[in-house]
Amino acid sequence: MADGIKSDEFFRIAALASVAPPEGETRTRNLLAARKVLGTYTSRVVETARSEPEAQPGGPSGEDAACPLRPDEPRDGFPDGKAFELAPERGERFVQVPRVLGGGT
Amino acid sequence: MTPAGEDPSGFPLPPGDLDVAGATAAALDRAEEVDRRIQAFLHLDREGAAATARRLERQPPDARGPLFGLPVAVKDNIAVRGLPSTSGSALLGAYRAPYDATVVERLRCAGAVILGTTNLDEFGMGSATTSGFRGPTRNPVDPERIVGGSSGGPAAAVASGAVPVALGTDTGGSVRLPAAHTGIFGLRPTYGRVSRFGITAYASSFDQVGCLAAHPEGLGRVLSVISGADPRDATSVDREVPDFAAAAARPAFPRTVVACSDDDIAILDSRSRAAFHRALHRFEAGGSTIRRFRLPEAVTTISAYYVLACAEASSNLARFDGMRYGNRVEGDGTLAAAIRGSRTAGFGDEVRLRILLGTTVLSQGYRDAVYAAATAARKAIRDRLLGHFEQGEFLLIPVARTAPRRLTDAVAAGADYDGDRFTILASLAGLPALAVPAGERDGLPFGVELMAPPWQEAALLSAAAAFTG
Repeated sequence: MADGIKSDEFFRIAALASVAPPEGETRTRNLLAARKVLGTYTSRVVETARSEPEAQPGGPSGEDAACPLRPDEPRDGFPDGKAFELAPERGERFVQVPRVLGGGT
Repeated sequence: MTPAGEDPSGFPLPPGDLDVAGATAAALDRAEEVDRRIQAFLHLDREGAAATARRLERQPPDARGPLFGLPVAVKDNIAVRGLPSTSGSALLGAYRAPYDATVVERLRCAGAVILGTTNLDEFGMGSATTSGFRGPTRNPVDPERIVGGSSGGPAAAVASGAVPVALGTDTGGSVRLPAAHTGIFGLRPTYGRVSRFGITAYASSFDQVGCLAAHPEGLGRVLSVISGADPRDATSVDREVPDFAAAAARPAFPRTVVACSDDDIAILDSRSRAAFHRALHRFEAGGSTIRRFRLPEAVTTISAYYVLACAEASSNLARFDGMRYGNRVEGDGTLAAAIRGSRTAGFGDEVRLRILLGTTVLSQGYRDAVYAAATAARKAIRDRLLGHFEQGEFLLIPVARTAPRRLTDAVAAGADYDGDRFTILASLAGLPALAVPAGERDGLPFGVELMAPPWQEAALLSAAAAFTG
């Protein structure tokens, strides 16, 4: 089991699913939804902006590209809300999410 | 149609010399009129409905079925022979069903008149009925607000008075949520009670055909007709089908209702919490004892549901590739480009997201940890819910987390997933569940959900009739 899901990896799945990967705002929304759904089961969830290919031309720019998970994003559904607190300026790459039911990674 | 020919559910009784053709024409006119404001229907079948009505009128009285002359609307992911069956997707915009779904076949045999097909979120993936390729359905209670989804078209058709009853499908709450948002009843039967043959599959271990109506008796009449084993659906179960309408006509408060705790409804706004407490008091006034229970953790429930539903969706929707099904985009001439182009152009954003999620959790490295963990969570949730029935006959929870939002309101990513927090419980556990109108908050409908042990739909209808009687 991989120990986390990086966004470039998540969007490479698009090739397997025979759809084009989403772009722009849709791409950011996809990542947020993926974290909400998959975050429960992976001990380390998703990437930072610096490794995020959506910062490339064609993807979102500015604040969205730099930090798709901002502190003011809705936190419902996560045990303590801390799951959303990335600190990319300190080079944090993953979010720690509590495992549930012992079935995670 | 004379008033004497109507029962409390608003549709004709079997005997008598009813003007079915006239009633059908009136129902079509009514549907067309309300549809200009709310877009409940995707296709009104004037010719087909009129032909059915003429055929019914030639039937001798003793050959008439239990739904004789009943106008019904059918969600657009349920196959109705000869009609467009798009599942709300541009990819299937040109598709017409070559056969009837089993539920439609049974409705026809019972004398129902199919008026047309109704709007939905694309492939049933949504909670608002805004993502279909023909645009949103508006809430008849307040047309500036969402109707709920994904069976928003059927709910709006019933709530607006266009039809007395409609069929929807319920994967994670798609019948119950729009029923609650429009102030009507919406029933999700026990998994296996009703055949899914002819339904466009979204998540096969969750999908069920459900009914929406303004009265429990209307639900009961239709449920009795569409229930029962079907050799074309291996998940349908061969067991006796009760007279559900008779059950609905015998209102009875349960001895004990097990309601979710105040901690569980803390996420509701204060007026919704008050509405939920009023529902508890109404049961108490009817003689029911109220006990309380804690819901399974929200994060566990939501993740388990979406992991499993998306995994199944990614598999089920693989067939929509422009080759076997769906409109084709040729691309650069290669097969791969045509498939990718067709799926990319045909699917909307939410459907593509769920396919991506599903493909991820089924891919090597994630399947065992994510998919298997979600499966284990599902079993734990089911066992826990079933255990609570030792305390009482029904579990009681709110249907919706919020009032129906305005169509123009922005929605944060994943916020609609949180909105499914209550309804996905019965879906995960395969339990029958009934959305019941329970008054208003701020002038908008508020609904509660009763869950029962498997196969106890008759008891649900009886309790709902008592609660709202």
